[in-house]
Amino acid sequence: MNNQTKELMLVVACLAIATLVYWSANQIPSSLLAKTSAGLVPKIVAISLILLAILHLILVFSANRTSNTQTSNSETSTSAIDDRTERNDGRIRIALLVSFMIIFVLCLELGLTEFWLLALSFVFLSVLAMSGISSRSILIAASIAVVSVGATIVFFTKIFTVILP
Amino acid sequence: MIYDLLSSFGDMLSPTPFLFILLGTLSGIVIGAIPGLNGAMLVTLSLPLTYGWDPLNAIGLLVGQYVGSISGGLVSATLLNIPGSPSSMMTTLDAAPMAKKGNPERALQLGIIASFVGGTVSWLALVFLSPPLAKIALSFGPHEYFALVLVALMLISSLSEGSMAKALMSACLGMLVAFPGLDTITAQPRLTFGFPQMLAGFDLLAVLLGIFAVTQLLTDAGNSMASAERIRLSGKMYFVALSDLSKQAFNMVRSSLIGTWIGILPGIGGSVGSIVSYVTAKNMSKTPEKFGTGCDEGVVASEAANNATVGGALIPMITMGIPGSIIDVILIAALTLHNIRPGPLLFQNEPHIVYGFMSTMMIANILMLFIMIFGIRLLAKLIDVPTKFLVPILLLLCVVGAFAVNNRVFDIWVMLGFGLVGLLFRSWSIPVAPFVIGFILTPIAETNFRTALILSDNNLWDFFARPITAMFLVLSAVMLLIPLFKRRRPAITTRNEH
Repeated sequence: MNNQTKELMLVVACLAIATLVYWSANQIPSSLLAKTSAGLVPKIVAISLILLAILHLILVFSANRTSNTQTSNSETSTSAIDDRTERNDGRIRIALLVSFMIIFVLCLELGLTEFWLLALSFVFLSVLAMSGISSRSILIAASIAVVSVGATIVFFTKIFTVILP
Repeated sequence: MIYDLLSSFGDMLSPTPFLFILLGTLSGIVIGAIPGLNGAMLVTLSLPLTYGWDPLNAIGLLVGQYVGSISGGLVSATLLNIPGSPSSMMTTLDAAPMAKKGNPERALQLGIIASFVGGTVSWLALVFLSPPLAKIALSFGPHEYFALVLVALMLISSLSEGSMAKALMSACLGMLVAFPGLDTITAQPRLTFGFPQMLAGFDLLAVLLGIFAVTQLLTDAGNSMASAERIRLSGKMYFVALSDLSKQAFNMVRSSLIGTWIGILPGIGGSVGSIVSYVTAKNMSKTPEKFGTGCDEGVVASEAANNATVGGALIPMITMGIPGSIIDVILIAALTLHNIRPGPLLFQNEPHIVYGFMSTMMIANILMLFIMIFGIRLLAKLIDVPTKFLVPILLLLCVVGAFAVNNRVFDIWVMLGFGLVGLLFRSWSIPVAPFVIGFILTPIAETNFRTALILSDNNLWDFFARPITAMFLVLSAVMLLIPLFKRRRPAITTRNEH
């Protein structure tokens, strides 16, 4: 994805959020308790965001027109390929962790099983995703999961009397 | 005031609060020393634990972590050439080369002593500037308060890195996140989109955990797993000569004053403080060519300034309720959890909290000096801690922390959602500080703005008829326009050169 597309997506996201907020704030009926409606400030901020998004769009396009005139020389060296591979690996790790978290929270929400079991599976799978699969890493992941989940449960419930999910 | 402060020192030095300060400082140093983990994340993670505590114990732990994390960044900056915290970014420029030349102990000790001096100078500013500032702030009405918040938002946006339009967009998005829930004046539900969970709005802690901790941890997970070159400490005890320290005395005080001043500006943390101080030290040095090659002045300037921002940043937070840095936002959240509202009335209503902040900061500063000087060999081992094993454990703590305050799974979703929002912000190079400051200050700004409108019968002109409000509004407008002039100036210069 090039820079311009990325910035365009940002502007679109901001415009969508601001429009949604404005529309929702506009639905609030005026109250007798206050002369100023509860939707007044959200509407002002939404309009400001729309104006800023448009300004940003103009700035991006005007800057892009200038930079287009300059020639760009792209090299594909071995280190660049390594960097790209490393970046892709990083993205995969992030995607895996986010997926594990979503499944973890979804299971908590639906009350499918006990917290400790879910937490244990989450830490185990996440450590594996971070360190790669091998018999050594499975052993390390299992030990880390048992110790950390055990410590978390004891620490939160016994020492700080926090209620766990 | 002196009596209150001494009495607060007595309270905070009693066993329980002291233990929390010690724990906080130690954990802050440890987290600061591990690359990839930072103070904001640690303080946010610790916040849910403090919910049922005595507020002074909570302040002891959190302020200790704040001081410790800023100082701990020095360790990895020196031994790994990677800043442990963003505020020690400039320290790497000279501390790492000095360590590579075979003097890691010298770099660390200079940094530790400079950090202590920076912390002490800013503590003095905190003690002597806060009471008069709070008195001034007490005379503010809703008009002035709204305008002050506007100045804070403009200031943080204009000083953020990169595009100011993006910084302002970030502030607006932060403000929008603060709106859902029941309106503070009319109690009408707004922006809830039919979700009953949204009636209470987005939980402050869940948003902070998401935007600070989850974003940081996911970023760490995505970063390169290749290990950096490590520099080991020799087995010998080493102490910097007094004559070398006295040569740096002026630099230390100057950098501390710069750091304190930068800290007072809303939302600007240690990283900006250390950059400004480092550049000033280089410009005023007789040997500027030595900067970046491992010179004492560089290490001292950066470390004195970043620690000085701590005390400076606490000044607007205590006196006006406006966070001086990102961690101050979390401290405000901590006070809110304990039903304490920071601001000018804090001096009148809860003086023990104000002086608790002051005494804790000094105690933590002294503890930091001793822990780091005598425990440096142990701390140096922290750079070997593999982040890949810590990330899943800390994510689990985030889940538990987000759930703990309200016992709602919804808050975990909010945390996860804002963690992803933080990642998008990073990918779009949007500064996160204006977002967080916008989020935390919006309820204050909105309530004061609408109260002011009610008081002045919806007459907007009333804002300009009051001198202080008008001054703040003009200041906001100037800060909004400065980038336009900055943008134009090179163009004019180029045209003149042609």
